[in-house]
Amino acid sequence: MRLSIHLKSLLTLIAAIFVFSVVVPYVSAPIPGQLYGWYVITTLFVIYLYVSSSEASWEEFISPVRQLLLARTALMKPLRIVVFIVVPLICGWYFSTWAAGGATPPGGLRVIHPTPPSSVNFQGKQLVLQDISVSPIREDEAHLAEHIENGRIIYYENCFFCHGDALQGKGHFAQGFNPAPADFQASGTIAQLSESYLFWRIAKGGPGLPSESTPWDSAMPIWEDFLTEEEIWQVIAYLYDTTGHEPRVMDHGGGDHGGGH
Amino acid sequence: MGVGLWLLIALLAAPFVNAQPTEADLEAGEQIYLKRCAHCHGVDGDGVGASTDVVYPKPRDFTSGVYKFRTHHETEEGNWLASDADIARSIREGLHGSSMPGWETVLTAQQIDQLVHYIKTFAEVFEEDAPGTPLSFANEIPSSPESIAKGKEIFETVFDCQICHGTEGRGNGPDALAGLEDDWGYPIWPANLTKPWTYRGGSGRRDIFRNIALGIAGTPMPPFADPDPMAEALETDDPEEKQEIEALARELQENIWHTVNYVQSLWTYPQEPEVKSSLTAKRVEGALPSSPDDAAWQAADINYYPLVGQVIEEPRLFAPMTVGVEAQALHNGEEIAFRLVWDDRTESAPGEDEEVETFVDAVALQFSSKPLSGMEKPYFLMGDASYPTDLWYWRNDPGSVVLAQAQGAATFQVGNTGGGLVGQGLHDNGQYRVVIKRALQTAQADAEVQFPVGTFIPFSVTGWDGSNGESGGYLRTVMAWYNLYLEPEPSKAPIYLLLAGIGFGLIVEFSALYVTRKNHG
Amino acid sequence: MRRCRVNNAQEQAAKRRSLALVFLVGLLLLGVGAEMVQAVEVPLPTKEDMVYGDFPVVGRRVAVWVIAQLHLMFGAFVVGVPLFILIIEILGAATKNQQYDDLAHEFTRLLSVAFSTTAIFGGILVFFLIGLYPTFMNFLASIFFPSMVIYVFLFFGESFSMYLYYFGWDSLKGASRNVGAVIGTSALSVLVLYPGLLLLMALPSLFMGGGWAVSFPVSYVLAGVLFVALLAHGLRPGKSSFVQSRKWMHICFGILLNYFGLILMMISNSWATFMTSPSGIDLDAGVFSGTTWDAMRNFTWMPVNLHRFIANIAFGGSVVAAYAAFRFLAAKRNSPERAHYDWMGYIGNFIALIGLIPLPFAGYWLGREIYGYDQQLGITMMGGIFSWLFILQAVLIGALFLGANYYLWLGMERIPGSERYRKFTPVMLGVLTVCFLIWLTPHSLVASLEEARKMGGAHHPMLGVFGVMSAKNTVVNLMILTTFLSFLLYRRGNKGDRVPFAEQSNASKVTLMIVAALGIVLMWQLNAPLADPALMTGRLILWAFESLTVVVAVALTLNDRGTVGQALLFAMSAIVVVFYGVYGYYVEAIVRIGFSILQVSSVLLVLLVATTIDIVIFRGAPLVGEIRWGRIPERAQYVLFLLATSFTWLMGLMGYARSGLRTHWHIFNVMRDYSSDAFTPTLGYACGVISIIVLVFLLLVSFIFWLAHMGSVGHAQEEAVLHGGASPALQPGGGAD
Repeated sequence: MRLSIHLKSLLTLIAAIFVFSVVVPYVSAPIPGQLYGWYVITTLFVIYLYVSSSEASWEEFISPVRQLLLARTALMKPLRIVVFIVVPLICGWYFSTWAAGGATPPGGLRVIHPTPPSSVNFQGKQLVLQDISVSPIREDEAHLAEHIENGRIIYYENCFFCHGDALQGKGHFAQGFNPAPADFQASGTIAQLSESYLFWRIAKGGPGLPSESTPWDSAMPIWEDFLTEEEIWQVIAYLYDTTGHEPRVMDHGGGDHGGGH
Repeated sequence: MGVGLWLLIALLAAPFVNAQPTEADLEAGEQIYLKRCAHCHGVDGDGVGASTDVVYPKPRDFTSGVYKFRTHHETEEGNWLASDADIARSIREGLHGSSMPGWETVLTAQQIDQLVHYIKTFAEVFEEDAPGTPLSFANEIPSSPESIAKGKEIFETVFDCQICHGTEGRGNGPDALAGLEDDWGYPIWPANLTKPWTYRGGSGRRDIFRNIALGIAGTPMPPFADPDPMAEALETDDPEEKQEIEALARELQENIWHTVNYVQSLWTYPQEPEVKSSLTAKRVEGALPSSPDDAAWQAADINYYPLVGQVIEEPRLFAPMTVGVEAQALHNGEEIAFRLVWDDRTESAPGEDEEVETFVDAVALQFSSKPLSGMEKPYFLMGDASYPTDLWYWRNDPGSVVLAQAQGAATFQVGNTGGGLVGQGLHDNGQYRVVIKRALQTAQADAEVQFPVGTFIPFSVTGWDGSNGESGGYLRTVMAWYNLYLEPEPSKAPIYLLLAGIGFGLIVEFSALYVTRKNHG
Repeated sequence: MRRCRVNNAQEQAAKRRSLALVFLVGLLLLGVGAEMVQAVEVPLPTKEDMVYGDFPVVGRRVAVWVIAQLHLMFGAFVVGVPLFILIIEILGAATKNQQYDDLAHEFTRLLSVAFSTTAIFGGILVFFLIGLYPTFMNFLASIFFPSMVIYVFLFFGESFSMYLYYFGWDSLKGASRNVGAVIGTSALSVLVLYPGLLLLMALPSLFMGGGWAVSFPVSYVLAGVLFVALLAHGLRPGKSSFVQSRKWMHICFGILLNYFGLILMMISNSWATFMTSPSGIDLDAGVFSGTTWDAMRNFTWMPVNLHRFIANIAFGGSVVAAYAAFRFLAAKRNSPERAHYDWMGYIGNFIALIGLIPLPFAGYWLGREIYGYDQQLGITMMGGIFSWLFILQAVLIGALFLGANYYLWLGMERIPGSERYRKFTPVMLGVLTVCFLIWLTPHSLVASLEEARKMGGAHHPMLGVFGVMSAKNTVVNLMILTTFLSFLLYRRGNKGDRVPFAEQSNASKVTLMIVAALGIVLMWQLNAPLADPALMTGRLILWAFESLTVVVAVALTLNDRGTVGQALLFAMSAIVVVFYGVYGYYVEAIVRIGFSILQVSSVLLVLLVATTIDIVIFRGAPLVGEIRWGRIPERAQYVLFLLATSFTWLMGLMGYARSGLRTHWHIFNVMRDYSSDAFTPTLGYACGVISIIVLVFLLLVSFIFWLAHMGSVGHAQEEAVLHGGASPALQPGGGAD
């Protein structure tokens, strides 16, 4: 059985919308409206490309429309009148409801990994972050396990209220804050960052963020008021140890790693 | 047929459920325990870990062998023992509203079993005794108005629940206010039954049934059907006596189910409500309500916001007693009125307790003092020097609502400036309801918050539970910024857009017609 | 005819004068060149020293932004279009196809207007910069003055070589045995070949040491030898030689013109890259100390040069294609003019795609070097506020890929016999769509509060996985593969039954073997040599897998199953790309970066071997029918507009990203911007400004095209071009064969 191109297009569209609005939310979480919009527009665009990718299929696709517009048969004439009345009304309805849907609250465009400064003043001491490719406590390999253990205690005395026992950003206070506390287990957070970056974020907290990261919203405390430099490095080591992620090491000089260049 | 199948499954599964743990299991369980549990529950399982001092409720002391949630009756030796499955469930799902998270996303079922075996080794009682007969959930009564009415009666007279949980279930009964302690001497509050997402052992119907029937071990919550009311029936040979016992047991079960239905009817929300990013202040005609119990509030949207302890700046509040606040707003083009509702078991009075310093309960609405541009806002903890905040501070002291302006928590001072605010509030059966009103615009447009209609204005709520030692800029419950939106006057834009849409459709149609006719006509 | 001769005489005179000037300029350049290696010490201006001018209405930043971007776009046009013309002219000369030559010639008419427009914008830019940022410009000039002088003189070289190229087109044809001409051509040849010689000489010094100090003198000697050899070759009595070819002389002028353009671009790049990645600054002493050459050779200079060079090829091609599309739509249906412009659009699009495919890799190198220079710059670019620009870029690039494929599919309308391959269209479209959707999924999403809470943060638990590098690399490689497949199908559209492989020439067979062997060796070079033994086994397995597939594909080709072999190659590459894409999630970042090279190299291998197989197996195949140029549906032409607009917009966006990266610094981490503009504008505002710039540029370019068109009306040549186009004897795939 050969499906008509209209039916094929319609089925493709329905299948795509089903995946975006039912399957993905069912499997994990709903897609944010903006991205969902992009997905649907892309799908429509692709369907257009499909029907118009050859003259034959385009002709098949457009000929009913053309017949309707030319309206040479007795059936088509009233149909055309109906369509000519209904379509503008649908447009009008869409435009006006779109306006009535009205005001959407501001926000959204928040930068997740903002740019760190090249150096920070930590409790009066100048630390050049760029020069710290790995945490200084890693140099003391013999005591690394102790450092990690100490980091664990620091974590449970300070961090787990928000970031949670499971390090997934679901501590018992997490729901009170917006943005939500970082999920360290996810592939997009500490797995993408270097230890010196974490040091900056922990030491300076929310108020130390640049304005594109909405420092006024972040509930991250300024930990340099609570912890020593070593304690911060210890808790960083604990985070990487427990999640199993590797801290990112920035390769200076370009082309030293990865081969091929 | 169905029963047979379940029996078969139970028979097949039996050897696995009761399997004695191997050395390797215990070893693995210990490793998981040390990695995931020891920092709260202590290396020795005694509930003394790194975080013990800063969480409420306290971590479980495993050496006692007492577990809150179990589905088995008292044993013949008089022990309240949880089964492996009970403990595994607490690990898997966590204890809601406490610091114990659900571990099912982190640990596998096998790992959880190993953990259960390991933590049982902390208490000798598990070696000496085995869980009693399983709790029966039979004779369930579906919820109905009659059943709820019956449940209310049982709640108040038979089981006498309101003595701790209060007549409206907010955990504010007379015994609760007098002060309760758990078996370890820590102060403990009865559950607020109106917020099911804070029920530690889950809010399923069977969970509530279980808690009523078997109580919560280690806490003042008593069992109402323990030891097993059917136990005697098994021992007697007299059919009449047996029938009598069975009838009594059945009545008890039904009473508990009625109570379950009543408890469920107390819920304000079936689960923790999703937070909405904006609170809409509807536009109404005429005067705004000044009383918190005015019927006009029924027309206003209600947004629920979780409140959490201020753990960001020292001194920190680790164990707040307030979990959330409901906010409503209305405006009439001239004035705006807010209504805030939150549960607080105690109406705190300074000096009521000799051991803990007590303050007066209070609440405040927070806004930016300055008009904002772009996405910038004041720091959500009372702002800073460049972005000060207005705090509309109401305290449980009749007629006192004042404007406090702060540039960060350190500068928070409650003075006597009225700021044009009018407020009214009351504490009623474990709940505060407060209304605060002000004109939309004031003379100091650059130094006090203004409320232009049709825009999004950041706001947040902060609260102080005086009997929990909360006062000042730091020890308080907080929430993030959310948006307040004042509904504008009905606009004519949709009509214009409707016309524009129709016009657009017509243009598209007629151009298509023109092109087609030209090429094919 | 007579008029032509007069023209010739004038041109000869002009040429002599020009040559004399070029010589003079050369002498001057030598003098300034010496200046470049003179070390200087320039103190950094302090905050109090900084002076700024004011610009009405839009402010100084936007004024400089708009003019600089327009200057850059015209610069790209002036560098890109001659490159396009040269490629087409060489193709024409090599295939002896007059149509190419005419196409190339047609476009030289654009150059003089475009060139002067570029110069005008350059002039405005200099005045604006001096007037609005005097202290900063003064500082830059103190460091770069020698290179600025050279720049100005090279301008002479550029314009004169351009006039030589343009006016010489008609006269420089045929052969000349004139001694003077042979000497001139030999000298020119040595000049254009010299950079190649120098590079060749640099190679041994890599192994034997000595560096440039040895390479330069040796290259001079070799250039002399080459000159004598060429001269001798050209002056052999009674023998013809390419040195006698006047067309070759003309091509040399074209190459020279492109050299000038490239050097100009590189010099001005060095100023801009110095601002991003300054070298030779001593912050403690607060001075720049070093030579001009030291400042030019900064960290991001070469990556930017390469990136811009490749982008210019794509840009030139896309502008030509858009012009052709415009003329196509304006021409009557079924007219010879339509056929010509259809063909021109096809060629332009083809060149643009050739540039587009390596462009992401050049961009990747640039990105790496920016990270390498300063982690902070890198994060600002990819993780910070500028990351949204890259999402826009992703959407546009994805749309370009879709558009390019769509154009090829529609192009099949003009190819009789291509119906046989229609059935692959939905499949390829499906693959492209899935890739595109993944490609445009950002890592952290724009979401409302409610949505963010449902997702548990700014990352979607499922789609967030598509936001990272592994996924992006995978899908972009798959999109390249699919586009390549589209092209192969297009190419074989009108080919009939293949000739049995045994009947193919030995040369074909040998070529196939050599290419296959080369591919295998290349893969060894790209995949295998790795110091880390832990990764060695995996790489060896990969290499064996790839090599085996190539061997099997070649064996199948020998047994007349070449298309099966090609399919195997595609499957192999898709497997490698997807495997490393997925595996990339399970390894640390530093290993993951290496994976992208494995993915790309497998795609390159397929491109190389499958193309060769295709050429070999379809050699001599009978045609189902001739290509019917002009029969493409009109909607295809809008794709060409989309291509040009997208390219221009992308240039604007990426230009802004490169410049905006410095945030509140004039020179990154060295000289602060103390003006009132020392903030990063919002994304929407920046996009607005960029869109206006693009619009202005497109309008100006249309005007230039219109001017060129007007100049050509009534010109006899137009006729000739059209007649050439009316009888196309071109194969689909044009220059690729």
